[in-house]
Amino acid sequence: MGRRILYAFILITVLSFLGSWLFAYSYEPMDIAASILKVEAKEPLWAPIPDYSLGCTIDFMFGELDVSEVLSGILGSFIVMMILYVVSKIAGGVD
Amino acid sequence: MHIMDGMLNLWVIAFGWATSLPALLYSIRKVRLLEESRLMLMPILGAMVFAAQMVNWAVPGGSTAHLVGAALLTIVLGLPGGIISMATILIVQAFIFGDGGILALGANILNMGVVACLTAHISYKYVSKVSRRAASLISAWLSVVAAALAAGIELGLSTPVFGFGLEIAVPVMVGWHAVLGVPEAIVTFAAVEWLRGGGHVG
Repeated sequence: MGRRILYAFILITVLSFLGSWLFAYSYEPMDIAASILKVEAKEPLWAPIPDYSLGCTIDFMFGELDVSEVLSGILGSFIVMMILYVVSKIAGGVD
Repeated sequence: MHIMDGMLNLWVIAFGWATSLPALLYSIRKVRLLEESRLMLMPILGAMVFAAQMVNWAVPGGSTAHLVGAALLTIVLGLPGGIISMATILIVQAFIFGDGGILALGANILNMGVVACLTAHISYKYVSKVSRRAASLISAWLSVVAAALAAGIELGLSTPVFGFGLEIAVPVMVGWHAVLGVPEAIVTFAAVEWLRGGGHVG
């Protein structure tokens, strides 16, 4: 399969997905399905939710900048790569 | 597809951890058998899939859709490599980026790691006997739908913690992800064909 066909596939996929009815229609799909079936949501009673204010998760260090998402993506990719690099080294036998 | 904390009841949370942890431990034991050339691809592919998952298509109403990448990881790295890579991605997302709950992490690893990778592995193995190109397409689509089915069942069984029962959660999750599985299948197909050209996929 030629690369041009692959590029065309990717381009068509992205364009068709972005331009699909999905974006015009998909407004809270569960609520729409529930209203069609005339089912009412049950009141949530109790669920375990950790207290994230205790520092269980880290607030993003760069704050709410325009480039925060991009920076967090790069940072996350790097962290995942490092962890899997260590895993692969251990699995392959460290020299 | 990431389930947040507060959406699952304790039994489902416990079930998620009880099934995903043994699968993860089994994968860690088995990944040693992977060829070194594929083992070295694991960090790069893992980082690639993490980055791909960061690209969220905004769905009006607050939901988002994103690629999963479980089939790509499984086809290239094998089942143990796929599960370990997906689990690593989900752990980093949950603990550092708040994407998916920490208590619900077991369920998320079960859905997007174990179920998605296992479905991709089995379907790729059997369909590739007929056509390897069709196998990557079909296994990617099936892996997304299977993961969504698992998530729908978990959410539906979590009533009244989750607002909707199985009759709503399962069809909605499966239905929407059947659509979202199409771009996932095409992107996986393109990536697998690309890697096959370089001799990284058999």
